[in-house]
Amino acid sequence: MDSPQSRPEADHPPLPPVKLDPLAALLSFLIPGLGQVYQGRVGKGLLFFFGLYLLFFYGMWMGQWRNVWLPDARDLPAAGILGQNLGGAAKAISYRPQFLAQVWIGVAAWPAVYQYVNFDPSKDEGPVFGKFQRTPGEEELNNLQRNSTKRWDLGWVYTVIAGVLNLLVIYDAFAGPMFRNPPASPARTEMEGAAESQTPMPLPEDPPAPADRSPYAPPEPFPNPPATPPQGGTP
Amino acid sequence: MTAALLAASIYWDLPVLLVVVSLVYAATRHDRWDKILHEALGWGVRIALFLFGIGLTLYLLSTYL
Repeated sequence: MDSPQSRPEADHPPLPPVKLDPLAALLSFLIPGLGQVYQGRVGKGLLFFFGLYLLFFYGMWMGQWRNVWLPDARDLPAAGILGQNLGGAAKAISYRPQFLAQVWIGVAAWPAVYQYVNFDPSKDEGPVFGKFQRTPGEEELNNLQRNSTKRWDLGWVYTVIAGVLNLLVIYDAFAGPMFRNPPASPARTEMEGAAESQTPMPLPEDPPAPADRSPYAPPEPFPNPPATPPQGGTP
Repeated sequence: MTAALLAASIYWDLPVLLVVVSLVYAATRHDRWDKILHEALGWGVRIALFLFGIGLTLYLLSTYL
């Protein structure tokens, strides 16, 4: 029979159930890391914010700010999936599938949606954002492809990776990280504090009362056996 | 000529991608900073080795085949 100390649940107490947080997930969808900041995980939130915005806008810069858009597909040939003709935004996305990944970066890609909704082919610029995230003209696209280096074409890959990475960030805000830490019990916290201050801490002679124990603390060991083991079956 | 190629090379953009992907992915798997940084370092090394291997293979194929 295994001793209690060697049982796996003694070393790895069960974790509390995952608390789902849809509001934090929504916040992290809008702005990467905002949900984590809302949950109090400020450092991680800032890492997500600066990391993903750096990647997204660096990719836009590589593409000369002309690689995030949703095309106006009204005059383009019909597109379909599984025999079904697509229309509206679905048709536009079928002509620019990169945007399906870019849009997960959140509000940073919303100007493209605004430009798509308010697109006027008779004008060179959109109403609020000008040319920012507006569908480039065919001549401009040809010039970019002909005169630019490979960097122009690589830029949209960076923006797509930023959008897909934010899906992981949204899930982290929704359900926490993949590997969670067990909550620290009061006795463990005191021991860690003593270890950090490098002062010896006497071991407690008596185990704490059951009411004081954390529900995630390891189970208590069995009491010590008597000094003289019983001899035989009868006294 | 070589200097111009180096200046315009798309490979100069790779460190940004490598660092951000490693850090963000590792941070979605852990909450403790020591574990985040340790896992990010591991992923960064693995991605860099993978890219280096692909680049070396393509270079050898284009040079000797």
